[in-house]
Amino acid sequence: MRRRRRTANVLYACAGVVVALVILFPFLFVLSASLQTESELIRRPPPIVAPQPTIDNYRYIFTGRVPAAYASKELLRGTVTKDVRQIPTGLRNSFIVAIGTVLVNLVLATLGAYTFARERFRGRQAAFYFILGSRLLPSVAVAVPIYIGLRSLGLLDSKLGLVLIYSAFTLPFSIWVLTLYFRSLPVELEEAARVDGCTRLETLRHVVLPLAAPGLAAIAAFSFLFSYSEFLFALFTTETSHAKTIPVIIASVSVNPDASYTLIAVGIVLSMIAPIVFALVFRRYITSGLVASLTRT
Amino acid sequence: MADVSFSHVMKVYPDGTRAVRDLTLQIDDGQLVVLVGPSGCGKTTVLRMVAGLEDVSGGDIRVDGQVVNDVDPSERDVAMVFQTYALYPHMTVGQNIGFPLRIAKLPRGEQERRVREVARLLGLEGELNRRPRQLSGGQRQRVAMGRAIVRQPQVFLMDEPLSNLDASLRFQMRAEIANLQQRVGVTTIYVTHDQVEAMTIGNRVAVMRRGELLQFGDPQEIYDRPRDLFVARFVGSPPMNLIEGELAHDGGYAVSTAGRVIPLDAAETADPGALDPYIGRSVVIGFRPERLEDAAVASDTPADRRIGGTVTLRETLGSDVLVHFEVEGSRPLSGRVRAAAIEAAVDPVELEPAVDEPGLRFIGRFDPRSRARQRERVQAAIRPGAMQLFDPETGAAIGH
Repeated sequence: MRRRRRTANVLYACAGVVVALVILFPFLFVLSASLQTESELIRRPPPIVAPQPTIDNYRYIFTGRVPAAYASKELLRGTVTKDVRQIPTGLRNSFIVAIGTVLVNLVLATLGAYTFARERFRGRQAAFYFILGSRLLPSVAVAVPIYIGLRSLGLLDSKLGLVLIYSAFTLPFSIWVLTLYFRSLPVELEEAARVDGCTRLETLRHVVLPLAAPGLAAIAAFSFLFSYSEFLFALFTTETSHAKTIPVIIASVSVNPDASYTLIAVGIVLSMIAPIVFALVFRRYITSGLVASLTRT
Repeated sequence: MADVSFSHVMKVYPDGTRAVRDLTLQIDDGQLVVLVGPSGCGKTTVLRMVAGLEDVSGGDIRVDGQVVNDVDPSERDVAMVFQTYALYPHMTVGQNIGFPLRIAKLPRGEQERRVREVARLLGLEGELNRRPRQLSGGQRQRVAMGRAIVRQPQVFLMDEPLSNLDASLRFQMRAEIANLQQRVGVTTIYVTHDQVEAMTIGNRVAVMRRGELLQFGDPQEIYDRPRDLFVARFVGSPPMNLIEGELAHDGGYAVSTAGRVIPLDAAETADPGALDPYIGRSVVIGFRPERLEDAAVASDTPADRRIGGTVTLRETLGSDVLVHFEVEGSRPLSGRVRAAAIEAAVDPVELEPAVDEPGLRFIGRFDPRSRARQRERVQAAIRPGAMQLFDPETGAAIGH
């Protein structure tokens, strides 16, 4: 009996490793590709582990120094795509837009959700479900109106424009999650704070927000990851490197038939760093925050 | 410090529930007043209206002469101890106690001095850096008290502060709260559903039922002269024994019940004007358990002031024994009296076996020398002044 259980455990572990490899393989391959020269990468079959790892590709993107390997005439794809030099700018734009969206979410979702959770007002229920329902609309359906709206505001090709769009898309979910989270907190704590001399805003600041930290972390992570990697709206509202975000730049590089695969790989690796770091740091809160808000009600 | 007064205060919830009806009550400066009643009687609603956590639907609440109906809770200068303590879990004990001072923006040094002073008063000096979840129930209770007194507010509000403690701790904290209140001398409104707590802790007790104030007075007065059947049954443990009978006047006042005629003594007939209208009519007679005694022990009581029955249970308490007996020849109480008697007897804290059929079964608190045994007959002597009469229709006491 015990032996059979042990065999089963070994099998489960092996299956887990296989699944993990299947999921991780594309990422590891891209990482390996970013550390190779173009001539190594286009061999058939391509090496899975870089035989002679090099950081020349990374150096080119940040400094513009052309990797030595590309001087060789034998290369099939020797053209070093100039566009990849926009990747650092794209990363910066993505980061600024994502952080901007996070801040808007934290401030507005907190105020909105607290109101929905604790204040009674006419039409509260209807407004709450309208906000939730607005998430169900496919975003493409509102693409044209949003484009026209942005143009009339003079916010096309601007980071602020993207922050507005992404906030509009992420706020409903954030408000919804936080409302459920706030409702799960014991109301006596807020009443105690009120009697202890706090105004509504002070109660929010000193008592509610510290207790809602996991919920806040969850919405911060959600809105960061969404806006950092959003592609469609970034593609058709931005034009120049002033506002182009990293998904748009990588896409425009990779559709170039002359693009270097190794440099595309570098772009992909660089674009993954921020979301991975964010997800790792907030991993605990994201799950606990979402689970708490969904299960405690 | 201040007095608190209620003048025709009402509370109607949006769904139409009338939680408080026409409450008029005056609480003097420095008093500890207990609001007591079964759950749902509106006592907590009254407290929350004073705190400003519930709107007042009608009438006025005054603190120190000022109408506070529309004053924000943060401006009222009242402090509240919640049933769940409502300690801030993300703050240490010291930060919890000092929170009202921090919000009031007192100088840092003054805050620390007062927190230390309160911690010393409550024996919490060693716990100031711990978090609420690391404390025992009694310590949490003290922290909640500390947070209330540190502000030196005009009024303390306490909402069932002891109901989450076990019995021995409740007993200890009850005395501590009473002592503390006397020492700081702040007007206090204390809510409980436990009548023993109400009697022991309060200078004055207000008994409430279904949103109405039934009686307000000092604890002994409420115990000795309950204004109606509900108060009579609710206050006192075990509850007052009730039986129906008929009032007669044949040379002297007497009641006939359970096949006997029991004369009333001088103390019981102090107000003949109130008794006369009931002559020849049905009345409800109440006896406190400790005003009954095993006739074999109390041989000095008159032979005609007896009530007999068969013992169903004997509970030894050490200082005395509780003898339950079924009264011979008694009949169940009629509808309204019975309903009031049973409603008042349900006491979730005391876990008293809710007397199943008042009027059939009596409880006497006898001297331990009593020989009453289960299934044997017992004669209970009625002590002087023990009988209280009530109107069976209205439940109102006759003759107070």
